[in-house]
Amino acid sequence: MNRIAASIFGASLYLYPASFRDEYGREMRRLLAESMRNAGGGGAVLLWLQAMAGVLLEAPKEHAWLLLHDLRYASRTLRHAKWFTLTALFTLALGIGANTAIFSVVQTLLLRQLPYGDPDRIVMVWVKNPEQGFDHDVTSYPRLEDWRAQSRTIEAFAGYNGALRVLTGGEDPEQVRSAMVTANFFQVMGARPALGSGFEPGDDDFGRPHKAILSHRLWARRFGADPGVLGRTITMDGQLFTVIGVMPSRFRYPTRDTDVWEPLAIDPELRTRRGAFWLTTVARLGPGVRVAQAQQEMDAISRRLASQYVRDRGLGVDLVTLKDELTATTRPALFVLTAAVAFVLLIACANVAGMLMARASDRQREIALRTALGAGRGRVIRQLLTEGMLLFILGGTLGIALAGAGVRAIVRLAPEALTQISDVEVDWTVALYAIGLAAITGLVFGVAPAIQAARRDQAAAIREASPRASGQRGTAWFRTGLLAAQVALAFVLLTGAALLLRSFSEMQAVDLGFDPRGVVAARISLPSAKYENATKEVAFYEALSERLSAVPDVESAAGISSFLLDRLPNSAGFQIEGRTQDVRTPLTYDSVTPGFFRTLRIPLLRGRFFTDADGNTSQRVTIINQTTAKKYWPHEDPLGKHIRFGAGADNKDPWMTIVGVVGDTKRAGLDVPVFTESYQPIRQAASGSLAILVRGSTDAAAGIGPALRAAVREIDPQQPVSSMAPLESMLDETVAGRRLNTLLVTIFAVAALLLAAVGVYGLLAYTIAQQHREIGIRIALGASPMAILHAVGGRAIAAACVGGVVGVVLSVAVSRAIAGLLFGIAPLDALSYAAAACVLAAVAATAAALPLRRALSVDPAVSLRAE
Amino acid sequence: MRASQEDQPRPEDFLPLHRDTFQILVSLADRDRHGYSILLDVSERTSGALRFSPSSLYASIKRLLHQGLIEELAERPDPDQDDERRRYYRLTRLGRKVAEVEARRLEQLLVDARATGLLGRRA
Repeated sequence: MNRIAASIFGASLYLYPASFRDEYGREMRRLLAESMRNAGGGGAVLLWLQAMAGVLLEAPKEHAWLLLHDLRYASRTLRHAKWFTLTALFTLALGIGANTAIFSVVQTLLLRQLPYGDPDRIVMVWVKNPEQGFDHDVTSYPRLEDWRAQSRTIEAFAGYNGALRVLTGGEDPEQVRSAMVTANFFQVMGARPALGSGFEPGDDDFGRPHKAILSHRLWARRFGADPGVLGRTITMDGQLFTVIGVMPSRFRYPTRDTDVWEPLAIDPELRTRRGAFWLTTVARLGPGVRVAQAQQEMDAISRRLASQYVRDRGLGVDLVTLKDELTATTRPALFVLTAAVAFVLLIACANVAGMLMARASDRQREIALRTALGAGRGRVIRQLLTEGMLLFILGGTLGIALAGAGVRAIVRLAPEALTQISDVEVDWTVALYAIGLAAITGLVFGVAPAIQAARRDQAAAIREASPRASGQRGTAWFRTGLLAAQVALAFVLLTGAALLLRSFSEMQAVDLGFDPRGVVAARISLPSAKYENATKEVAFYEALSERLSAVPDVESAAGISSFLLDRLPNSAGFQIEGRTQDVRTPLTYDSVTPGFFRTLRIPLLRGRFFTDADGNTSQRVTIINQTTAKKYWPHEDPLGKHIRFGAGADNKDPWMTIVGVVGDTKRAGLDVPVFTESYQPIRQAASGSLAILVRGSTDAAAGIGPALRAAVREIDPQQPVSSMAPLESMLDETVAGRRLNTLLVTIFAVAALLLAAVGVYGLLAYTIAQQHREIGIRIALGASPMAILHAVGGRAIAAACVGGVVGVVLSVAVSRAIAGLLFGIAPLDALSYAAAACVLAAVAATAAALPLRRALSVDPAVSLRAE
Repeated sequence: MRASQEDQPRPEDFLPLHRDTFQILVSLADRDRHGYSILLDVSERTSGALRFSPSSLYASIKRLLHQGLIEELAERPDPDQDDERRRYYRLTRLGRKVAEVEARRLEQLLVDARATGLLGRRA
């Protein structure tokens, strides 16, 4: 027979699993040789070809058969070692799940591109005034025009402003969030409607026919996703708008819940008012322009404008990339979470490695026995790998399920401000990466020793009743090191969680300055087309308050133009009568109904509250907060003093008399310093949009909502009420981000703690099982319990101590890094450190107690007989 | 595998047999054989219609061994061939039973086919 043909066939046998080849390879070769010899000539060639085809056909089947067999065997052994399997799966699922969830969020929020064209070129253009301490202000239309005219590095500027509008027609009137944008807005954002077209130049001129582009959400909800909506007219605030487009669902700018975009119809007066700050500006950099370049140019333009206009004095411009803008508040927290979750993964890997290692050395005898009984080494190794892989695949699957649940929970708990959070999904690359990392760790530390065992002298291994031979010492040391690392990492996470929890409780303890309990808040925006003057607006609110006060459950009701203050609430510079210098630090202004302070239980410090007598014909009055009083009248009584908004000698604004000083409130946020604030009576400063606050008499909050809606409907059936919620839950939303961070870090810390406990338990239980005989001998020889504990637990205790010390050092570094997320406590808060140390010590001691008790109860007679 | 070895599989559990499997069992019915001998026997009985490749033969042998239908004997030389030592296979009690039951099943099929006139009546 042709030698070459034979050796090719021989080589092809390597396609088979080694075990099959070892068993039948020789026979198969001989069989082919004989057949070919008997056939001779062309028949032989045909036989050879047939044999080669057979190998290609049968070898994969053998592999599959073996895999199935190994999987069955592995699942049997894993089921048999129930505790090992459950713990390992729990550990893996936790490590992989937590990491996948958090990295998926990070990936979407920080790393993924925004769903806009060339998103890196989109920048926010903020006006800043370092002297007055603001850095994120909106701008006026004339200034926007100047920027457009003078900038070379910036391709286009777009301005926008938000409004709440009432959408009528169809079933119920509905309040929608509209973004009024300059005609080039979508070009700047690099976005196009999914359906229909965008705005055209000139659409934002005053008096043009109204056009509207719908959000995907509104289109689906209100119009049943009907493409025929294009060209239809809709009614908002009593005005007709032609629908010209529908945006894709991923376009959510300026806010997550923008429903409609309409061209900004800038009225001629606003076009020229340089001092009216109302436009938020977003711009697109020219191709290849860096932000720093554009910033430099904008600085020069600002200087030029400052020398040209009084209104521009002291003003500068800050360019912030859109991505940074959107993630500015979450980025530090996400970094902390990423680090926390990476720690959890490390601990989980250390745990799995330790567990697999222990299991491998436990199985040395089994492996040696199987090898001795004729199982090839390759076969045993293959079996072990399959078992390891099965474990990681199961753990990974559980982990991904956990990540899915985690991501959903995070999306639900995340603060509203994160516009892209709804896009977060489990990231498969991340999941595979986490599983891969765990698998590699497991294979290197867990299966490798087992392979080593398979290579060892079988006779020796079997002879050893108590497998404490070479390699065991190294393993023990390695596991001790792993334990120390786990303790250190767990300590860092615990201190982090303690610091955040303490911050959170400090924040909860902050005096709000008002009493939100039992108050329901809602927003009502009266369309200006219908309520075109102050008298009508005031009449509406008075009718409403009259009806509400007739409801038995309502204790009191009030309104304020904006209740929860934004980063930059309605505010303006002002003048104090008799002082030459204008005050440029903005003073907030809010219209309130007379019952406002009583409804919110804001204390009156001096003077009086507003009354029904403060009407539009009487003397103009205002109430200021304590911070304002202290700042501008530190040694005087502010009552009776006059102030007015605006600046300059030609200021036409009317003077207002300060008639009261009220307590400061934390309505801008618990962690935001109190603004200088002022309030005006609604009859003197009408507002089309009002936050209605209704205090229930007892815990009748549930009945208040319907009562409020009913009252509004009675007055104006077309008028919707929006964002109704208990005031307490609205305040909660302002700390949602912080609460989420705290919650997640705490969960991770608890996970780390549990994993470290598993580590401690595992190491001790293993050591004791290994030293069973030795302990028996010691007890037989009369060793004291202390001596026994020292002998078996000494190493674990040393590891825990070393881990603890390393943990403290790491924690100090980490606490400094998260200082920005803390509130009201120092990064080196002793209480947090002590709490972390106590919890860790207690849990470690509990985890150690079980196996140690077992060690002390070893019966020497039994343990020695067992040999 | 339909039943594990522990709880005594019934011969019926293996039916119907794969053509290759059945032929191997038949070929071992009258005497113990080594691989090449099986191959020749089957090829001869089927007039060359079924000719095993080394892969398919040993895949089947492995499966039959695993199922406990055949067993492997100690290696010994084949008196008809050279004096190289070879692996011999023998039907187990279960294997013989399985082959028998399968043969009866096939026989019944044949009877049925004849009864309906499909194959024409035996002369």
